[in-house]
Amino acid sequence: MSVNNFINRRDAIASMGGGFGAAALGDILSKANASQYDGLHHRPKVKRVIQLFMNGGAFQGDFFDPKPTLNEFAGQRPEEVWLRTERKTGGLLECPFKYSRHGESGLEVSELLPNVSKHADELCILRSVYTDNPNHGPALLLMNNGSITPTVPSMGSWMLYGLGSENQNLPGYVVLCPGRPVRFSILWSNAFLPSEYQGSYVNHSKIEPEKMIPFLRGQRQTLDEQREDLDLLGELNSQHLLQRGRDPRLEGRIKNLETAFKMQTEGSEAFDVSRESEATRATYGDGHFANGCLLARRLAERGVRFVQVYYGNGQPWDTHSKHNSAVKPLAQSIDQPIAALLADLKQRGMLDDTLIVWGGEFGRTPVSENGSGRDHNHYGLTMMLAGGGVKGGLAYGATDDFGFRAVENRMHVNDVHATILHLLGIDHERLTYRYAGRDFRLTDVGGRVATDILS
Amino acid sequence: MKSHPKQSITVKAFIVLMLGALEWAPMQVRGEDEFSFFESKIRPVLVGHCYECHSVKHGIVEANYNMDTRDGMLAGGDRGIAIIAGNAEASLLFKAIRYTHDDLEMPPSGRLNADTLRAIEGWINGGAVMPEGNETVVVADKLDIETAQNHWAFTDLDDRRAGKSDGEVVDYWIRKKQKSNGVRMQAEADPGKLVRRLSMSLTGLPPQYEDVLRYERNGTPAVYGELLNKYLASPQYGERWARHWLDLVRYTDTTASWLKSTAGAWRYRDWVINSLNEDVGYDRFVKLQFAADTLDSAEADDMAALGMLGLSPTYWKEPRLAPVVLETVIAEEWEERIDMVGRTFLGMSLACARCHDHKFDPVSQKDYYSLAGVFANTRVLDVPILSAERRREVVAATAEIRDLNDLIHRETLARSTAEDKSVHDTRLREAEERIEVLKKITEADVVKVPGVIDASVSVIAESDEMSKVVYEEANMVDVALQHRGNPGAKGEVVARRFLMVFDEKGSEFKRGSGRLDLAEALFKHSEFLVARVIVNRVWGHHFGQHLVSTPSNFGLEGDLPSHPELLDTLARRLIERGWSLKWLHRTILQSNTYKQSSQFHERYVGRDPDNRWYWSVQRRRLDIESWRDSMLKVSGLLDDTLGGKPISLMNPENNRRTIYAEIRRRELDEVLKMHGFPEATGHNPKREKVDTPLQQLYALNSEFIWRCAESLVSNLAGNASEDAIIEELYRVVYQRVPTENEKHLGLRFLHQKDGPEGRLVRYAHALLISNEFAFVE
Repeated sequence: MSVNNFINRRDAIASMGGGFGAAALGDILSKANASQYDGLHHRPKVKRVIQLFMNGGAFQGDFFDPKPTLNEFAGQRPEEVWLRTERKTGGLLECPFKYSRHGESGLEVSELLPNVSKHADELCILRSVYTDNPNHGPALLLMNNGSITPTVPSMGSWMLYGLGSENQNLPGYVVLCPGRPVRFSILWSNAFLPSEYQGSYVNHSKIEPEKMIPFLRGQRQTLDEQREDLDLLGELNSQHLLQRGRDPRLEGRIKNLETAFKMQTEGSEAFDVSRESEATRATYGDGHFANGCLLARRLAERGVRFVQVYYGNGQPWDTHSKHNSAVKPLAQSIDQPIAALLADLKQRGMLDDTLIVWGGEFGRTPVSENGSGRDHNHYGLTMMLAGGGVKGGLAYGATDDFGFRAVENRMHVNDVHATILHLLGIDHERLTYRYAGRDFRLTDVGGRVATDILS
Repeated sequence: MKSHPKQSITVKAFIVLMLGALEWAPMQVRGEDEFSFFESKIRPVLVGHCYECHSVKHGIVEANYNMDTRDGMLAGGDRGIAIIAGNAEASLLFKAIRYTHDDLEMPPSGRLNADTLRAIEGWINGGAVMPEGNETVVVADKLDIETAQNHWAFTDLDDRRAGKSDGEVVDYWIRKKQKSNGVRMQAEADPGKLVRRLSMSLTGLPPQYEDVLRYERNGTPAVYGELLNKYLASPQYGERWARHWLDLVRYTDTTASWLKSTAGAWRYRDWVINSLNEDVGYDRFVKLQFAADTLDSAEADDMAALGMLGLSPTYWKEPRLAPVVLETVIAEEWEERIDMVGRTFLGMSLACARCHDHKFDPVSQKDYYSLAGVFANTRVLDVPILSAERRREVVAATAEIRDLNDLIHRETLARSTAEDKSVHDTRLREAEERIEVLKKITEADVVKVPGVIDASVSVIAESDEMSKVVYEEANMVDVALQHRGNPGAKGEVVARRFLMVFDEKGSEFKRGSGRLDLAEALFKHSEFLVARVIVNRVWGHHFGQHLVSTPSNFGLEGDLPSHPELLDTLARRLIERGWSLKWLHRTILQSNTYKQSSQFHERYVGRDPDNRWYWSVQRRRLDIESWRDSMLKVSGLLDDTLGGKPISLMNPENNRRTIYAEIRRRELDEVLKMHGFPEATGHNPKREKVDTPLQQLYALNSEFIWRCAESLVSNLAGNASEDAIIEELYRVVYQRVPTENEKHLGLRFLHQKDGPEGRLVRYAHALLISNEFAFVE
């Protein structure tokens, strides 16, 4: 990624899009000391992000935020936990999972994540994140798009808009989900940004690449036959072009056709986990989430800027009843893959310039719903970061004694976004886009970088 | 017309302050001790935790709360009075820093420690004394309506120099600008390209080869005019142009799932198609979409027009949340409607004025809430397609049934305890008989469409845990201004009316919600702007570039028109011709400006690289609708049925025009999305021109195109020579004959050893996905 790429990209957009080119790159070019940091606002710590999204909402107390007081008062309802959430809740529900300290840092991780806890010194735990709304839709929107209204671009689209893609033969922003998260494509919408910045949704419940990517391969032809057709088409198109003189859009379509042809093989290759060794696949384990993590690594390796791995179809983490038993298999299915992803990236030297983000759209209540479930909780949730630019072995911020609401070093979702952009070398206040008479940005009018967690 | 929200608050604060002082001051001793307490215990907290966001000295005053001075600290900001001197418990600031307030917690980085909280409590209870007194800084109100009124778009049409006939007026103004900019109009495009361009412009489909031949043989303006009129009169014109309109009003076939709407959104889409085909005047076209239910001249079918508002995005209002949270959600909905209306009809971004007076345009926050009032009294609801008279009958019958059911309920209770049951039995029987009669009125085959009714909205707290959204049909209300767009900080109530910049008198909207008043005000007070905006949109679709390059922003931040006189002349004449859009099409399309070639011109590119002076007609890529529809047309697969229910593009047998593809707001079809079709979540002023490799994967591998290629080949004459086949394919696909070289390429491809049988479809496929087919010029 260089300044020149930026400029070229602007030209390309301008030539394709006429009027909107100049407005499309926000402040980045005009105001930043572009040359100093490859066109970015400041020196980036990471080049790419992998987000592991526990859709439905995980309970903060289960993994990285021990709350002994919660168990002490189990069944009771102290004044501090009378907070309004989505549904009717009762007394405090016990959290039966034991915590112990790990690594040199002594970071506390629960027994639900035995493999992840081995990487404790890499983990940066944000215990005091909060969001605005305890319904899935708005909370998913806030976490993905920085606003509860479905009319603004997603974080991934902003990232791509600011950073560009590193691999022209692959989409720069890929959303993996074995099924469909609630709210679906709005969560990776480009909204008013140019559509090349939208997330490419890939359903990886079947792991053959041609089943994941629509139109990646046709049923009709071999590649050799297709090559022959493309040669004919190439001659027709170049005669057409020759009669007309220079036209970047005609040329662009010719080039894209060739790129598409190559994507059929390169895309197939990137999305094909069967090309991994048995040993590597074994470290990730089985299941959709394991495949998602492995795919994420393959894509990150090939220059995809932002990969989101949604845990599953619908909202699997939405444990409104029998929470304590439901969370065990959920935890088990993420523990080994996350640990493997961390180890794999580290071994390949990629953990230093990759950011891992783990979390859901909101947390869950320490009080019970239906006696055994946990309701949505927007007052407090835990997110986990790992990788370049963040302090490892750190637990940042705190929730109250029961793990209900964030009270210390509180981080709004906008703050999390600001911090992620910061790590990528972007000032969230200067990554703007003029639309409908206003300068929009991911963090709306909020957002503060949590400098305390930066390494 | 300037608004001074701060003023009223300051006055109120002053009064409370005086009361506070009377009540508490005698208990306090003011002096050096207090200042030193402030300096040692309080100031450090302000510096460490507050001034980052709430200090004029530090250059940032969030929520208009300035904590630099005592007056500022007490008076508060958007949320009203912050400190009641002497009463910490009752002070908003103290609730916020203790984190006991419903939704305000300060500082946001975390709760202050207990010692600090105690110190602040003591300081407030002690009278909140600090050395800095009252040098309050009031942020200046920047809105200057008089300057803005002189902005070109907000002044009346200037058409004084427009003596030219309709046939000459476009070329006159275009040539005039060309002369002063050193470029000239090019020669007419060759007949094949021109006829294809014309047909694409009006119908979104390629012409018959016969049309091209006809104009090739007799290239007169008369023949051209006949072709123009033919396309304009074809039903495919409405299908093409309705889609342009639907982009602006964020049309969707499915609304939010919890609305459980059974109404056919497509009836609104079809209403738009039919209205355009019938050339309903643009003024009437617009008014019906705002208020078909209250416009006396509306016919039953026109109720479908309400779909423009009826299909507005609605956001979930969770009853478990506090009223102020739901009010925020509702305020988001108002903003969405105001944004769509402002940009679609006025080319103005009014939504900016939700939180403060518009930074650039003459729109005050009061203006915004006076319009919000219209939408606060407009409820999204399915409505029956009925004439006004029938609608009144149904409404009356429905109300009577409701009353009768109440009566049955009461009588049944009374009967159960009564000695003599016969009186009650008679009443019950009569009521049930009457209901049967009434049901014949209400249930008679009523077709519903997504629409709106007049009903005011409010949120009440039903209990500590539940809120309720209440709609009242009988009672229209004005809404209160919300400081910084925050429903928790309401200001004065503003009457419903139009924007002051256009209607200085501020005539209030009195009829129901005010929807009809608003629609009429558009044409009464801002006709010149409404006309400019629609002329510019129509022009833009024909040329692929606009006279004002920001078609939904004519404000001070928008671009200036390249040809202001032309824009104004066309706008004036559009009004004079009864807002006939077909007149506008004819006037533009019969100009030499439109007819000229797309040829590249070395010298002119140097002088005018953006083609601002129209020395050429831009070559354009077809949008997804035209591209797909053209494939169906040339391959003989097109099902040209007009209107009806939507059908998914995933359906392999979908041979309908793309306007009938099912549009889901939550999840846009994959194929539409990759080709730059807009999301149905908001107003879309123009399509992006994005070219990606993913689109070409679709071109290479989609079954749809292969199916078209097969059909194309199967329509060819059975025993024709390969030469003849190639010629025929060129005539059908490109509406021209192939060159010798092209024929040679084709023959060479077909003559490989495995051909030509299996190769014909591949050859046809290549023609369909070629650049020539994908572009219009």
